[in-house]
Amino acid sequence: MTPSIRVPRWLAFLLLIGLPVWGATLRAAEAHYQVQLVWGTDDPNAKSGDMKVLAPEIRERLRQLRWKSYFVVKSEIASIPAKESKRVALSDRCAVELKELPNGHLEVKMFSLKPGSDSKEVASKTMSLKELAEGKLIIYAGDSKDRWDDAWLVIVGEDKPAAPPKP
Amino acid sequence: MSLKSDYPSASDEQLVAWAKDGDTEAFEELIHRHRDKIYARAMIMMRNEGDAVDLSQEAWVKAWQRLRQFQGESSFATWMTRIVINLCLDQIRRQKRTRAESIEELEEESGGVERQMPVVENNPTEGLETEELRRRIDEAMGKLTDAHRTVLVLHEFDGLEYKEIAKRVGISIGTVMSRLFYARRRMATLLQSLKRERSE
Amino acid sequence: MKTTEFTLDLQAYVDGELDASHRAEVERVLASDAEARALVEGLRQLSELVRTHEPLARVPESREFYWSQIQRRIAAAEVAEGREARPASGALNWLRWLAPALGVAAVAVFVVLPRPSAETTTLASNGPVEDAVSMTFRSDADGVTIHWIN
Repeated sequence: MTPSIRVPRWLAFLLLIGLPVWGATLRAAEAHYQVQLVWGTDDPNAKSGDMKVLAPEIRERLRQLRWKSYFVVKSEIASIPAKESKRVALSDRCAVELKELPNGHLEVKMFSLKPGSDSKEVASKTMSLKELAEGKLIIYAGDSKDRWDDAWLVIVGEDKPAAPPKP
Repeated sequence: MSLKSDYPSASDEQLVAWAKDGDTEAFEELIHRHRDKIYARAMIMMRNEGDAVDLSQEAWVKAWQRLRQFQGESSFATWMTRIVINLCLDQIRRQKRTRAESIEELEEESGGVERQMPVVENNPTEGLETEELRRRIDEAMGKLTDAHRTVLVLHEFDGLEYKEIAKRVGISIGTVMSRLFYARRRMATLLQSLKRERSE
Repeated sequence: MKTTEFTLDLQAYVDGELDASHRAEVERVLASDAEARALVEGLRQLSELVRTHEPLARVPESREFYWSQIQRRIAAAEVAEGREARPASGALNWLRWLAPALGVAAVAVFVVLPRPSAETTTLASNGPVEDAVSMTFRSDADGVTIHWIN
């Protein structure tokens, strides 16, 4: 025979309203962003077989730029705890650090990395969380140092969170 | 008299006058009007998109910096093409020459002009549509050396006289003449072989 | 057999580069030399063909982005030369250097108001000298903001 557990009414009430609140808090506790290092080139072929072609829906949004091909060098989902920052190393030369600011903006910092020395912050830009939730992207880009005429891009956008579990 | 906001309807001369006063919108309208031509000229010279974009943009920067020097002695488009050509020439000089190019220059200068002269057929491109013609001419020009293509472009597209070409490129008039002849001979040969390919 | 010099004279004749007496001399030869006439005609036709079929090309970048790149270069050139920006005209400003008294090297800051079109494109360069971003390009229609780093 299963022993019964008597739950105080106030506790039952709290559990009822607390669960969804807890779920929402859990979602807000970590924000998820997709960070991609992308190579822009006129070469139709990727440098290595590991590189995938950039998703067409993002590629279309780069139509103002002139490169014919875009390949994803690295793609990461950065999970950022509330009030904390998260650094994502994209290559041995660059990293980004993401942080949600109290003013409702995402701060994205670019760091250049050099072996044997500290990383150096080279840029810091923000975009409102509202715009990111609408699907907008914040992008850093520059001329490739390795190949004349190619470019690198770091593309940051919100990663749609998984739906919270139903109570 | 054009309204200052009516940039698309304004003449080049009016836009230049406004741009000289610091009106960047007027300058942007000039860029919009002439950018493809300037880019195309850089593309013919440099044969790759990256260099052509880079040098055409640089030409616009130079134009902005030197706008006060432009007094309307030629059309704005002509003035711009000369800026971009000069930038292309500087770039070509900076780039390495291939051995193959040197050999071709030696052939030109060794006095083989009349012995190797092909008969320039009447209308080697008969029956071709304009766009196809442009494409084939572009293809043939791509096969010329930088040195030969440069004199051909300056003479045929920019309409420069021999002495102006000589001064611009830094060679003698005699060299201009022999390079131009060689370039034309080579173009004729290339276009004839393209015609033969087409009819095969 | 034509000499190289005469062949080039024929070319110069086609190109209108000969003086009057030299031209007359060439025309005397042409009157009796079919091969020379064929060469002159061939050179004329080729020149005409090339001149009237100049290869065309289109800038592969959008109007807005191409202009933004040029603006970036102009600003960078003015940074390098330490020149003061030209006075503003209309809604567009080339802004002045930041005061050296701030203890940072001056950078050009410029703002372009959105063009009156369905697509909003704005451009701003900002930030202190430590910020390597030289140009920002924003397209509302595409939902992207691109920060260009030198």
